[in-house]
Amino acid sequence: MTAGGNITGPGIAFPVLIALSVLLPPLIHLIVSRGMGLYRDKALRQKGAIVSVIAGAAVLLILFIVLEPARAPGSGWPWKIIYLLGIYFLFGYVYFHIFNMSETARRIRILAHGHREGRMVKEELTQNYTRREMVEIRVARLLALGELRKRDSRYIGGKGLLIPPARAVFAFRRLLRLDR
Amino acid sequence: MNPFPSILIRGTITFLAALIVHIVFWRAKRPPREMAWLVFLFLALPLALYSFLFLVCRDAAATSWVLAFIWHTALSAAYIMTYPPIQAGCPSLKIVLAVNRAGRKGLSLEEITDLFSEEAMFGDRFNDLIEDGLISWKYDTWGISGTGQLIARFFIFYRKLLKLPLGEG
Repeated sequence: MTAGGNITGPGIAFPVLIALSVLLPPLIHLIVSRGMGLYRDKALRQKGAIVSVIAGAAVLLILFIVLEPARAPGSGWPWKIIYLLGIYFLFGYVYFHIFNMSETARRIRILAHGHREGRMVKEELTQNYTRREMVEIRVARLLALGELRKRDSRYIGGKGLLIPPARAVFAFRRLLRLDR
Repeated sequence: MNPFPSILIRGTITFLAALIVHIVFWRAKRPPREMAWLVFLFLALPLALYSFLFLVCRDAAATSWVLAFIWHTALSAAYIMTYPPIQAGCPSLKIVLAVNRAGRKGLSLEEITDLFSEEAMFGDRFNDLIEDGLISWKYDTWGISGTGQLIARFFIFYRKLLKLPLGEG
């Protein structure tokens, strides 16, 4: 236990930093996208969210150095950084998924359509949002991310960064028996 | 002794416990309104447990349970946000795997499109919304429920805030 049994240290600096771990990713993204007008192109939007989360980590570290001056040996500050960055990147990952939902989720698109139109006819929606169109949107995104490459009229593998998470997702689907 | 390793371990153990219960339940019978069940299992139940531990401890021990719960919540929120693509079988990831399997020959757009049925691409997601109570049958057509309206408004406002048009789905 740290001196005096106070885990977070004197003052409210550490609790404030924890709160900032949740707030920084959307705040930085807001500054980057709305304030600076960066990464607004369709192909770059997801990259913009990722860059914002990484930039937020740098801001958090700087704030930690400024607000937590007691970094004497034995004060346990390296563990505080590990804890704080762990929390930050987990909530950054959550934020990225929220943004990704707004960008790519079919369910959000259907809800937004229903909100706009007031009513929905399933058959009309199926005609408007065809399977072909949805595949084209995804292929364009994967091309922009470099995960697919186009050779003549065929698509081949790209960077391959998404292959391990893709395998993990489908393995977990089997574990949960979601394919039943 | 530094308390943070123990905080991280405690938060991770309760997260793993919730994950194991989730896997066992889902394998036995996948429940309706899955997201509500995930929130109950990963957040509501642990909140009750941690609140109890917080109340029976004092000083530093109580603070350490709060920090462990924050760690647990961060892990759980990350998993809950990962679940929709797992549940929907994320088409983008399916495309990546299929193209990778095809090797140097690759796949044409038609071949990629044929990986998906119309129902899997659209109908299943529509049915998910019905099952989650976000859209419902009103008179002779489908309409959005109160919760569905809230979610739609949130995302429309959020995209406006970022100065971005609505996503293409």
